[in-house]
Amino acid sequence: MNSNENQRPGPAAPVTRRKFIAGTGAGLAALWATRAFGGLEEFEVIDVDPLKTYPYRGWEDLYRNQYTWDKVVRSTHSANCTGSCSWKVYVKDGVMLREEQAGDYPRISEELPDYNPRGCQKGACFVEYVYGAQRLKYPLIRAGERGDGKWKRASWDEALTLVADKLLDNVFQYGPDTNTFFTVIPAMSPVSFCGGTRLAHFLGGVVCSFYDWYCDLPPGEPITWGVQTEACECADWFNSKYIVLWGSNINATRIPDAHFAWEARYNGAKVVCISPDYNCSAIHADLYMQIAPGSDAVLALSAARYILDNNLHDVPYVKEQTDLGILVRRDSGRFLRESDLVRGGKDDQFYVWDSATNAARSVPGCMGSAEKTLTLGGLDPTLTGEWTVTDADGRPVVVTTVLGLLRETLADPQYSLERAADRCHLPVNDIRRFAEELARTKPAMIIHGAGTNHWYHNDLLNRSMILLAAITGNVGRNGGGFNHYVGQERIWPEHGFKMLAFPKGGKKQRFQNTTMWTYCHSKMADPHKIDGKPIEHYILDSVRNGWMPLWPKQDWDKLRPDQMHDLPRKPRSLIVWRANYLNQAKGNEAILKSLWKDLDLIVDINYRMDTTALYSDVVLPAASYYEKTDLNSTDCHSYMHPFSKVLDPLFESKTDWDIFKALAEKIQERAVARGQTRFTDVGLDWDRDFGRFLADWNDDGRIDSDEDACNYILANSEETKGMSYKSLQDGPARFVGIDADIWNSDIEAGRAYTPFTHQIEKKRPWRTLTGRQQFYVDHEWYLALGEQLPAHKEPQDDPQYPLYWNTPHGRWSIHSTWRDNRYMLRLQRGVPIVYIHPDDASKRGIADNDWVKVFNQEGYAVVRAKILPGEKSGRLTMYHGWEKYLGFQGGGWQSLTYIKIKPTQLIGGYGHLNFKLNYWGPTGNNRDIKVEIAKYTGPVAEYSGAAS
Amino acid sequence: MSQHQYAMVMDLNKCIGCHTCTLACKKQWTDGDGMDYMYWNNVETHPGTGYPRGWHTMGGGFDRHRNLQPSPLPGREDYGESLEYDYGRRLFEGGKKPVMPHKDAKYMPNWDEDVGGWDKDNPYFFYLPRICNHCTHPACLEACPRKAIYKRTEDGIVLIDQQRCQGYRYCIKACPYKKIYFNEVTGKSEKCIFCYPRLEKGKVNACAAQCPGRIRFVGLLDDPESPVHKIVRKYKVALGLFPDRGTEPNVYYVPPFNPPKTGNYGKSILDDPRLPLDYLKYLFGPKVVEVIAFLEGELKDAQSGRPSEILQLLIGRDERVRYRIVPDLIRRDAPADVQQRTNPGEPAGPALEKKGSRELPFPGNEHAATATPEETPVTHAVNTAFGLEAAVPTASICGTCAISKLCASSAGDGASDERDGGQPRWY
Repeated sequence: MNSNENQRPGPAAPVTRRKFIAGTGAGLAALWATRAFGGLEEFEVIDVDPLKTYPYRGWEDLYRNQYTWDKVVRSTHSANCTGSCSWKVYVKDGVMLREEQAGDYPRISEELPDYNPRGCQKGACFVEYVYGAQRLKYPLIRAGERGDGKWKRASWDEALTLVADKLLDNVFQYGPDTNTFFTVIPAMSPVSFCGGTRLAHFLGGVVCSFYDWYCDLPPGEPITWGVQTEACECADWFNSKYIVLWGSNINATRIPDAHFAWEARYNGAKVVCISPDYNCSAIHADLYMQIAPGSDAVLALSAARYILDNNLHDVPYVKEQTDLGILVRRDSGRFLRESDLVRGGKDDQFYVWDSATNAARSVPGCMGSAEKTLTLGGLDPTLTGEWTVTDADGRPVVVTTVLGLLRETLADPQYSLERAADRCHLPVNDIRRFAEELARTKPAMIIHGAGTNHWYHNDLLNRSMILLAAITGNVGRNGGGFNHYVGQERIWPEHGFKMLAFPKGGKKQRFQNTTMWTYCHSKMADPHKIDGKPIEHYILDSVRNGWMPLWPKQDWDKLRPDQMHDLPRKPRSLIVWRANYLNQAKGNEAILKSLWKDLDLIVDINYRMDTTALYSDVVLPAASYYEKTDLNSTDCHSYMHPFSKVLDPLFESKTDWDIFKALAEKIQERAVARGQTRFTDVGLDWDRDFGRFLADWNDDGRIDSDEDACNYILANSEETKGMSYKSLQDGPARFVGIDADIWNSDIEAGRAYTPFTHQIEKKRPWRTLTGRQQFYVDHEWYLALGEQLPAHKEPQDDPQYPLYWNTPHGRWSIHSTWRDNRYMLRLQRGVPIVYIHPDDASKRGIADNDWVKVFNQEGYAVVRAKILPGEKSGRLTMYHGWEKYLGFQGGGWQSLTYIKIKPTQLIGGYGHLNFKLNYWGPTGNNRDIKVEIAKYTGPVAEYSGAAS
Repeated sequence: MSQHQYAMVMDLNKCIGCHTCTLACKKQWTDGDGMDYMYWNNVETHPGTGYPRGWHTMGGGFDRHRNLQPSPLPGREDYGESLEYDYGRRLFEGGKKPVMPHKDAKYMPNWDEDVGGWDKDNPYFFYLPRICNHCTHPACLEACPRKAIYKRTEDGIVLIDQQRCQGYRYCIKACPYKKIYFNEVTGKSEKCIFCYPRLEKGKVNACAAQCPGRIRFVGLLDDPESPVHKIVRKYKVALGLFPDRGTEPNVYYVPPFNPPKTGNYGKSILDDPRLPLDYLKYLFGPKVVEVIAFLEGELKDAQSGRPSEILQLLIGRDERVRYRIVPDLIRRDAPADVQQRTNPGEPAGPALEKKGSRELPFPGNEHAATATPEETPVTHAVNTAFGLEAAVPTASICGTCAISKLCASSAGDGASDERDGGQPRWY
């Protein structure tokens, strides 16, 4: 019943049409054609020169009246754009009309440009979603097949009862680890995030990761630095004198921040853009390097070799801040450990060769060192050489340094300037000058993005680039470093957030890396063999070793690698909120055919009908960004600011927090009614009492409202001490301090935040096994795969197809949000498009705006082609996020992709490398996919007209 | 001639092509009936057809003898489709087919985004945001048989009287920039109004206020303290579009340059440039070459550690540098009947609510706490050449914040126009 209700304008339909001009809409098309130059009416001749005077200016009030409003309220957006922009929303006659950036971020210092006006074209038209035809207004229960778009309107009570009963069924019948919860990015709306994770927490459900799954996690950072991601706030770009945009198209994907780079240029910085396509950031660069896709590590390592060969590296920095002076055994390739030299010695104490004493000496600051400092004292590590030490059994052991091994690696001819130029499609001179300038210009920074991070070998790419930033002494300095910006992963008030999200702590919570979960629960096999073995072999080993979790729990010892896609215990429910899991999933054709069939409850909580909602069983209407109470922060700046209820939630929608509160209440009610209040959760050693489920969820009423939750986070975090939700209504507030357990730099007045000043300035050890920026990893899998040091490896692609399939972040959407917004579509071509180089197009007889079929072994997508001279020949680009239901004549942009897990990202039990949700786990990369393209001449769906 | 002239400078080397200006304008002014297709502010990729399609090859403007030049009237199709989508059918009513736009578009306002041109391995393009140029000699005004187009004497803004306009569209043909749009519903021609209702309240134009690339500078061309005066008149690094068409546009562009061609790094931008100079000369006239040469020299200076005055100004560290809006002055010089209708001190609407001031301050945040409500224009004490106060947006300045030095220095700054040899004062 009543599905039509969902798109009929409600009582609060927007009154954006101007009413002040008397006019008629009759015969519009005819008007254009015939009215011109009719000259039928008499001229009313006025005897003035309108350059000098004009007698009838009273009409000007017409536009003055348009610039009026009844109310203006501060809010923001949470689409995981990393913007975190504070906006004003204008209301007139009870309707939200338009938005404008609040433009009141306080300045950091006199020297630095400010953050205003922070926002983009998408934020400027979010109101469209508040009242648009995609808006979810009522709870819906599926009435046809998943994806059909046939619904039954339900009451909240009916929908929540259905969901609560199913969740309880699963807990008691199949186990709590069959209930799965997926949401993303707490920083963009932590209260909405926590509403659901608290519910999962008290239900025993599995909470899935997002940052690694979306391949936004740069694995090289946990490997090298022992952190998730640490980047400077964007105002620090202005402090740089050499900015390298490497796989980061800031003009499209960092719209609010891009100005800092171009203003830095006016302040004396050179800007280098490294990208296969001549993109919209390249146009303002001083040096543009049109690199061949997948060859970035060759460029980085050839530059590193040039710098080292020419002694352009920062020797004191390298000795103190990196592991390049640490000793490694020649025989095993393992670090020389105290346990090698002393019986009962530590495994996490390492050595350098001290030039003064000409002996191996243990260094302070290692994970096992008593002295927690990087200060070398009297030690002077020798960076290159080979020596013999005597082990605990009196046997001689030949040792060298990490730098010695690195030099040997870089001596490989592929890293010569000439060979690099050949592989990267770049002039030799450009590589040489790039290396020279990077080493000689201080401070220099790499701004890194998804362009390179989405490759299968992203860990090697990251490590190669970080190496460049480190040997030139740039990491940990304002205006310098390797700064990765993909996703709004950083939650500044982390402590308060964690307490709210997982009240009994992480040890009482089932966490899941989503890449593994999706891969193993779908019939989707990566055909590549790694060292002769399929990836399933490594996954099973990792799970058996306890390195990575995989839920639901199985009897792993009895399983074989070939059973990894048909596990005996399967997930049974999936609850998605603040995310578009299905649309954005690599391999979504396979997912629809397998995982989706195994799930017997899919719930989507959303303000709009996105692809995941469309393919769900129950859809719960959430408040839009302008109807909720929450917080918002980003790694791109150092301020906290709020979401607000510009209007109370419209139609029957509720805030995410209130939806989960209602669901918690319903679970309690149903558990009591069913007589199923007690559940002994053996795996977590937790006697659960669902009879007080709501009281657990809202902490006995202490954290009942969303505003309570905001204040709870703010009050329990060093970063936001003294702030309250209400106080944030006055404007963005800069963080007041940091939690030193979490952060590596202080927030200082007058200074842009840049990471790792604790290490550089206070000599605090890095959070790694060696206590240094660690470029050498002596884990057995790394040694076996030849990845103990940064190296180049060719893409893990499918060579039977000729073209790379590139699906980057673009200008016109934030992932799938705004993809279906007509204000945005009108400034594109209105349907999904794939960009193709003119040569690749003409070779295939493809003309601009032709319908084309892009295909490979996984599936296909039928879209339109746009011929773009700036695209790199040999590659197709389709900016990501298009909803599966919009404009595709079959397939979708993810129909061509599949999941490729890399074994090096499955390890654990190694110093600083242990599973941690969104910090360390395999990434869902997608750059190595290859495809073919051909002109499509099949049927095209009708151009179907506007909603009635 | 108008007594004063508001003007805008757009720095094309800062433009990121994000179209926030386009949406700012669209949502502020052109969201009404008959207006979907019109973008008073648009951003186009050049070389390219632009919007409306082919506008720059159509003609219009004046010849050397101030005769109006012929031009075709762009057809409705030259403005592109304003697509509509029937989401309801697919998402809520069980329609199987993909959602499609209502028409099969062959051209839309940003159709050739990022295409530009290419010379072997060297693609090139740049973004050109466009609004009405509020010309000193508006061809539209001259062409209007109704005399329904006029130039405001107090600030030089060119307006089409929405009561007296009869929709003949001679103005559209006459405009060499094709920046006038016919509203099929009202039967009137409409165009950019330079946001006079905002300027009258001391607020900068929506397209400038919302520009995250911070490329726009606004002020009176005849105000020696205004950034546009400095950029256009003092440093002479911004040029109007199609100076040969005789209308004397009042929107000025800092001309663009792309990086050197592959293999040319280290050579001058003008030495075998990636972006063909002939195209830039076509758009901006022959002076563009010397302006680019000058800017390249300034960039080299800056990269060698010698700060450039003009580049420091173009950095535009905050909005006080980029805009100088003088509502009191404009009101003083407006006709009496207009004065009665404008009152810079009276807000256009309620201010953003400040709920929590009492719970502040806490360290590091005093400025946010004490900032004046943004919607009420508050003039900051800045002496001007006209003896009136300039409305300076107050959001980022206050008496007690960390940048109080700035506030103080601007308050006492009776800045003179000319280079005074010292540090530039605008940041």
